[in-house]
Amino acid sequence: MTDADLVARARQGDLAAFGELVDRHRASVYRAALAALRSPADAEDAAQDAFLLAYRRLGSFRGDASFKTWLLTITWHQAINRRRSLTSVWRRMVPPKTEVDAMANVAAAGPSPEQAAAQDQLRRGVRDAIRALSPKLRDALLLALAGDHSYEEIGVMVGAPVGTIKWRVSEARRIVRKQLQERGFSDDR
Amino acid sequence: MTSRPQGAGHRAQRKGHGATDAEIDRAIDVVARQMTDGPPVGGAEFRRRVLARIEAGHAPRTSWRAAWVLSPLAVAATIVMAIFVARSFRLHDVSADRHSQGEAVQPRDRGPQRPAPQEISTVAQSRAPQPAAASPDQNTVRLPPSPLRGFGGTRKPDSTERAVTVRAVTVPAVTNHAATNRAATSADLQRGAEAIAALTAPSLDLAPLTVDALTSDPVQIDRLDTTASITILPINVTPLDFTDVQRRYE
Repeated sequence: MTDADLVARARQGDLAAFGELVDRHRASVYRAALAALRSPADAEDAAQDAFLLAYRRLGSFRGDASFKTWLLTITWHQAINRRRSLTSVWRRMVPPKTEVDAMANVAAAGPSPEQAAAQDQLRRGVRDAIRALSPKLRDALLLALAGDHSYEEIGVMVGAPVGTIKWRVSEARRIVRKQLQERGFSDDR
Repeated sequence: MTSRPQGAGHRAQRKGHGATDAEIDRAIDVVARQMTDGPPVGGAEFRRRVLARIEAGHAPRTSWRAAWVLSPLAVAATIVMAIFVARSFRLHDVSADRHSQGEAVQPRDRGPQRPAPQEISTVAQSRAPQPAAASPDQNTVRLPPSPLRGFGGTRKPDSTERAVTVRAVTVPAVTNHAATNRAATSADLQRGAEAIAALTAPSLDLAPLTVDALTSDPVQIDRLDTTASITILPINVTPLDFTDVQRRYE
């Protein structure tokens, strides 16, 4: 059964059909929210709100774009709104414990502890550089590399042309690379 | 047709002992994926929560709006409350202070509630000529000064207010005596009662006014003479011959 069929049934009040849509798209929705919020708790709340809002606005879904794109657009707006809240800002300032676990990475990775430590250091440098990006570049990079969204979908979500999204991703990569070079992670300088 | 974002590793070139571009790009890919790959959302649980909220009719949470809008309002309301409370406490302290010092406290000017200037001046005038009221230890009661910018649209100081202030300078010593001495003795009270009695205006014995009846002289008007009737003769107008004129203009 296609998304359009499920949407039609959900419009008639079939909650189970909408539940099927939730199951199909929750991962994409969650990742989009996480790209904007970087906090799993906030991302889950935003994802729930997005599905709730989508259910209420099913009547306004005209089918010009795919249901997934429409849903991701709602999700992105919800996430951006939530990103502006004070609590969310605070949560992003305090990094979750899951992100900083260097010793576990060292133990689990690589052929030698030295290489694993170097790689872990590099990844931490990359993470810091990504966090330091401007919101537009960071959003484009994270959405593009999340693996769930095409450039076209990202363009619709963010409200920018595909070319702009591609440029942002490329620019974000360039800036991250440059920052790593300045910090001595690369031999290029 | 959709285009997928490119991965890393298309410009790999090792130049030394540090990370190559390819390694950095690969690290960017991995880290970006990690940053959007948090703990998995439990499938059935997530679906159950969403559907439960739909059935309950919950609205999407918009707490951020409430926080951004209500916080400044709450702060402003708190400041206003604090100012009012502080002012009321200050007024209370001042009035208590004056009461303790035995002053006749004049109510603070609060615009429309203040006594009319005429009333004050009347009281002052009626009290001023009384000899018993004149006392060397009179207290001065000051009405609040005019605002710096004056009143009303003219922005001029209220001159009537000042006049009142000048007139109402003296307050009978009766109240002062009774209040300044905390241990009021019966003698003081007696003196105060006498002074109050002295304040009463003496009754005036006036002879009733008599008014003579008015006599009015009749007004005589001369009779108007009617003029003789004028006869107007009808005017006979002979009709003009327009033929020549009409011919000229045609």
